[in-house]
Amino acid sequence: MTSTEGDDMSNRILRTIKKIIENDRNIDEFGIIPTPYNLKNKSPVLYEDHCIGLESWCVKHVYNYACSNLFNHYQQLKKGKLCFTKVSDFNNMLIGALLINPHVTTFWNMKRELIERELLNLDDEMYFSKIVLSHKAKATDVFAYRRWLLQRIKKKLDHQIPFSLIQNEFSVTHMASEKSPNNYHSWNHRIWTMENMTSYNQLQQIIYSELSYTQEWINSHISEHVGYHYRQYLITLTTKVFISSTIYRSYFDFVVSEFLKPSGVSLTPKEIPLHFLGKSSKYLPSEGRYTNYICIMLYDLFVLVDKLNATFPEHEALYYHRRFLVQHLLNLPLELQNANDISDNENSGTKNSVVSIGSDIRANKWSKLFKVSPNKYEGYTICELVIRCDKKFLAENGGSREGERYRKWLSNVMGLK
Amino acid sequence: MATVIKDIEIQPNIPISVLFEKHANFIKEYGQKENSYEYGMTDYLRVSGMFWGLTALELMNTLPKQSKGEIAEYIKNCQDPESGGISACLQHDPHILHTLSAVQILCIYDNLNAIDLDGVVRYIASLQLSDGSFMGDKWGEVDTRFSFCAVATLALLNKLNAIDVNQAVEFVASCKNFDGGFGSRPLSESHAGLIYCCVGFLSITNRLDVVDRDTLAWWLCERQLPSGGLNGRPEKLPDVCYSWWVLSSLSILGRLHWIDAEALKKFILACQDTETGGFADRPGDVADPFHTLFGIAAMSLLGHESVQKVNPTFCMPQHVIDRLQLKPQMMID
Repeated sequence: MTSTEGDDMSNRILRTIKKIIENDRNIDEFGIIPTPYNLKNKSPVLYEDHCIGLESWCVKHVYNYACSNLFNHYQQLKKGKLCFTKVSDFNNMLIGALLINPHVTTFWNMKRELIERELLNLDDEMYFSKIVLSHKAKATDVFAYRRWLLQRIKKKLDHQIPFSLIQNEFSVTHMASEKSPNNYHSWNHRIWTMENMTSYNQLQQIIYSELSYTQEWINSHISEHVGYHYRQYLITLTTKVFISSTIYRSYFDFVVSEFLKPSGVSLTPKEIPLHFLGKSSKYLPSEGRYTNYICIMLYDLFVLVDKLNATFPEHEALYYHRRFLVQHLLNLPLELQNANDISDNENSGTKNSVVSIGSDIRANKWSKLFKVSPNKYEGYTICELVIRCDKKFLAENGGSREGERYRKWLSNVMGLK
Repeated sequence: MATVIKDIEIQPNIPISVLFEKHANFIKEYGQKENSYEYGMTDYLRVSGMFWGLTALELMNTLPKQSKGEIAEYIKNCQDPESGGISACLQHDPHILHTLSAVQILCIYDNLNAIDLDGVVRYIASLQLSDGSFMGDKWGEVDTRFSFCAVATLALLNKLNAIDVNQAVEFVASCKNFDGGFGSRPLSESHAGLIYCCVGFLSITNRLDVVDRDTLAWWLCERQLPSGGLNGRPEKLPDVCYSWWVLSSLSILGRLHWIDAEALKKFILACQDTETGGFADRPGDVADPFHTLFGIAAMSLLGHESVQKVNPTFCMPQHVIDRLQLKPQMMID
């Protein structure tokens, strides 16, 4: 193949791909099909059932062709000298190059420059980047690009972000999480979406449905710690966006039937913190703010973790979730008290957030975490409950590898003997 | 039910020493076919790739094929005169990742004046946001990796005062999790690679007081698997690069002795490719310069006498850090 023939062929391939993406708004997947030689003398672009395949023998030609022209176009664009007719060629090459190699930050920047000049459309780009993720679900530049797009979309809206946009982001991250196990980037992106695309009045409802989503996810991905991490993020979030009327019923009902009814106690949701935290609940910022938080964690500790561990023992990720629950439940009373002390100090102006130390730190300057007095947990219903639960758990699981690691963590890091 | 530890098995016939000569040749020959497609595919990480290869060679007391002048010339051409930032490769856009790699390389060869240093400082300072975080480039992506790049670059140039260090520390501190680890942003999962970035950041800024020393060291030690190798997050496979991220963090925390060094050495040795040279992520996989540097650097932290001493904060030869009179903070018992 001469170089002009190669260029013509690459050009045709790029145009074909672009046309398919333009006409079919429901592409599920792009992939490169291992085909060492061009045997059939047919187009190497395969298109079937909303999937695009590119035969691997042509990838080199297409990528080299795109690279040898892209930078030239980029320079012209930045100088304002790229004529309109070349914009579509430019984008065709970018689509091909990024489908093959989505790690090239500069190629994404080229797209950003095109968008800033309103030569590309935001919705098309959201769709294209999703197709790239179907091929390379861990490519961090793609998620960065989506965040950049979403911020532009958000700026253009004069009203609340439509829920469909948030849902779409959740479904894209779900796809990427499914395709690539333990996908740090897709779950990070889900957190980013929660933090940046939702509004306060939607959040209560979204947290609840996301909690259900993670429970389902964890059930089928026991060993993926990142899924638990996201659930932990949601649990913590419940205390930050509390509206007194929104009680997550299923978790509350569990706590009532498991811990309250048997001892003949009847409580309203907002009395839950007082019951479990006792005297420290007087430091709560508002009544009932921690109701969901406490109920979900008790549910996770007594039901989710327990059930999964019985069926799928020895999963470090599951044990780490247990650590999160135990540490946060045990420390809650003291944390509330400390938060109160700190805010007192802030008021009296003694808080010094920035201390410069300036040399190596020696151990005696170090407040040792590993000298915790176990008595500090005494007298709180929640702590007694958790400690009892852990004793039972260790009696059943203490001999295993993970059980032993957990015991060591409890005694060394948490200071519980 | 069977236990399910995700790990690899070390085969009995693994090399018992570091194959220095093979690794040096591997690095020197790597990517010599500049016009190949495979070479073009890695353009986007070229300057960082140079840092991995050149640092590995220096730690092995070997000179590269290229002269000091050629290396400087290449980097100089990657500097964007307008922003002052350095790109991975000619024609690519500048980025903080490659700006740090470029400055690290020039420090190793004592050749900083080859580039516009004021430009570099201006570039880094331009990337700091009001919450103290750093963007990777002008397009706005934020990550704790970039916080590390910013302070490491400026510390090497003795220009830390060009940014708001206190605010930068506040941001990194806000990425700390209950398990003592750090993630890429506030609320992100703890990850050994990002823990290195944050602990390294705090070491450079003299703020290791932010770290929950033993909680974090405990978490880091739990990364060691029965094979001796280290992973970066729970229930992930071991990988040679985590030998560096975890070990350097433990060194800075003064807790290197908390892991089983002999078992780790065995794992690292098993990741060598006895035919091509170089280290792979795991035994039997394809070797590359990235894993080769981190394999060699980890052996240095473990006290291998034939490897130059490496500085755990900067991942550079200690003699370079000494020459620059830098003393990144360490925790000592």
